Amino acid sequence: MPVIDDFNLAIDPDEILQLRTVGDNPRTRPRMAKLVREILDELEIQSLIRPRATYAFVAVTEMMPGQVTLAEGTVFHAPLLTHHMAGAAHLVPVVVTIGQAIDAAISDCFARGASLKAVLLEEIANQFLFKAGEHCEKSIAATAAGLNLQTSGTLAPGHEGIEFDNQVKVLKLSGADYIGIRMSRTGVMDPVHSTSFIIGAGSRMRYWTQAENCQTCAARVKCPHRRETSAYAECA
Amino acid sequence: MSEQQQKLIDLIADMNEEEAIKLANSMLDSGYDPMKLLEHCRAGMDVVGKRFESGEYFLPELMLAGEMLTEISKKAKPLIQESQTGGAASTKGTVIIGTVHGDLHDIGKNIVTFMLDINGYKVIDLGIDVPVDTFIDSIKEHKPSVVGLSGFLTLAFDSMKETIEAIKAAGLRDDIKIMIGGGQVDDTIRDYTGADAFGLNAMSAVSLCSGWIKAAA
Ligand code: B12
Ligand code: SF4
Repeated sequence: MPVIDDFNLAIDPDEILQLRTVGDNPRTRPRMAKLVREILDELEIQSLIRPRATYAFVAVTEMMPGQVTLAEGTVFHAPLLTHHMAGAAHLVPVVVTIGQAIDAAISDCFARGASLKAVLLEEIANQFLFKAGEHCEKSIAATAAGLNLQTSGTLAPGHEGIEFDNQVKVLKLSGADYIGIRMSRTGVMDPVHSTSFIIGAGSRMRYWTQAENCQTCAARVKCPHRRETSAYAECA
Repeated sequence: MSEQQQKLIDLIADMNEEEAIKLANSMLDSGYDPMKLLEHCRAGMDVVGKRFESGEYFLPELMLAGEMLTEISKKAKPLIQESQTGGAASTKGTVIIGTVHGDLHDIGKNIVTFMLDINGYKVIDLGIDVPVDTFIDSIKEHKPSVVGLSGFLTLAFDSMKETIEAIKAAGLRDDIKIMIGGGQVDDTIRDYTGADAFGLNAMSAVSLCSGWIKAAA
């Protein structure tokens, strides 16, 4: 299984401070800005963000509306996937994690009652995970280009039209256990700060941003992470 | 209400952390009833909660106000224990909470846990991906007044339903109230799962518990 571990992730404090979830109360702003900077330093000094990803190029043998069969026998039932990735010669299941250490740090903060720090740590951890996902996307696109293939945008099990019950298959195909991700019977990943998605690869693939995924998402109305189509989106 | 009491409430509500803690400490040092002082803090917290629900405040303000309350409680609670004959400071009631099996999303649950805790409830947090049996065993052991089920994945709604049915089958349903919450949860999901109520956010979790526990008293 190819492993991606050449991440060079960085977050600017302003990226966190401008999140909708953080708000813009002038009274708490200085305290938050200081805390975000402290957290980012702490994460770096203690190396609490440990990104790793793994993926596989799996040949498509048959694709019909709502169902795709892969060479090694796996069948995905996912109308959105077959619609968006029609013409894909390969599907690329991907799984990415930022490791267990950050989960432990967040739990510890909540347990100590340092809830503001815990909530900010969560936001930061999720941003690191989204960035790690973007890096994987680029890395896989580069590998595909070397094979004269184009890549599509990403679709994550759990999104409308690609039910969560596809998750176990994605994790098995991508080799999640190979990078130390444990999976419960129902497909819940440990470390928690992990995510999976599928990319289509073929001679002519349409690329879309996560912002387009937001357009078809049931959570969009209330979602503070929602991106409009003019901007790049991030999502779990 | 005295000017000092109102000032403490306002300082908390307006996120004036340093001043709020300073005033609370000086009130306690001058012999102010610690139980009453915590009530004022909770009144301040209620204002923060209302501002959060109306969209004026965000999670960080809710957390910061909670931390102020924790800080003040650290000094007030031992004084309450001292004044009570041989016992620990009483809690409003016990709540068991967990993210149901098949789901891992725990930010919302952790925030609800924190808010219930600072509002005087004893909270037993069972964590994430919690099997049905763990809920049953914990209910038998801790005899809570309220059970809270959290979940963000669509599949969590089935897990909630399954958990509630198992609680019923174990003969434990009549003694407890069950609230659910997380992302897409609404009244249709409440009806589907058989829960007593759903909460849109941490403040509604607190209101639900206090309503039920007051009604039972
Ligand atoms: C943050 C997040 C994550 C984080 C989770 C971090 C964590 N520690 O929980 C990460 C990035 C790790 C993640 C991963 C995944 N996620 Co996710 N995630 C989200 C996201 C963006 C926000 C959820 C959240 O925590 N919000 C913050 C809280 C504070 O919000 P809140 O709802 O306001 O919380 C309040 C209420 O809900 C209420 N409440 C909560 N619980 C309770 C309980 C009670 C009793 C009461 C009364 C009230 C109550 O009080 C809270 C506090 O005020 C949502 C999308 C969304 N917008 O909801 C997707 C989302 C939930 N994830 C989703 C999915 C599919 C996944 C993955 C399975 C994706 C994948 N293919 O791998 C993975 C699984 C990872 C794993 N380990 O197995 C889907 C679920 C789809 C579905 N309907 O089934 C969503 C909706 C995104 C989407 N549209 O695709 N995710
Ligand atoms: S960022 Fe929010 S709106 Fe966009 S796909 Fe993810 S959950 Fe849905």
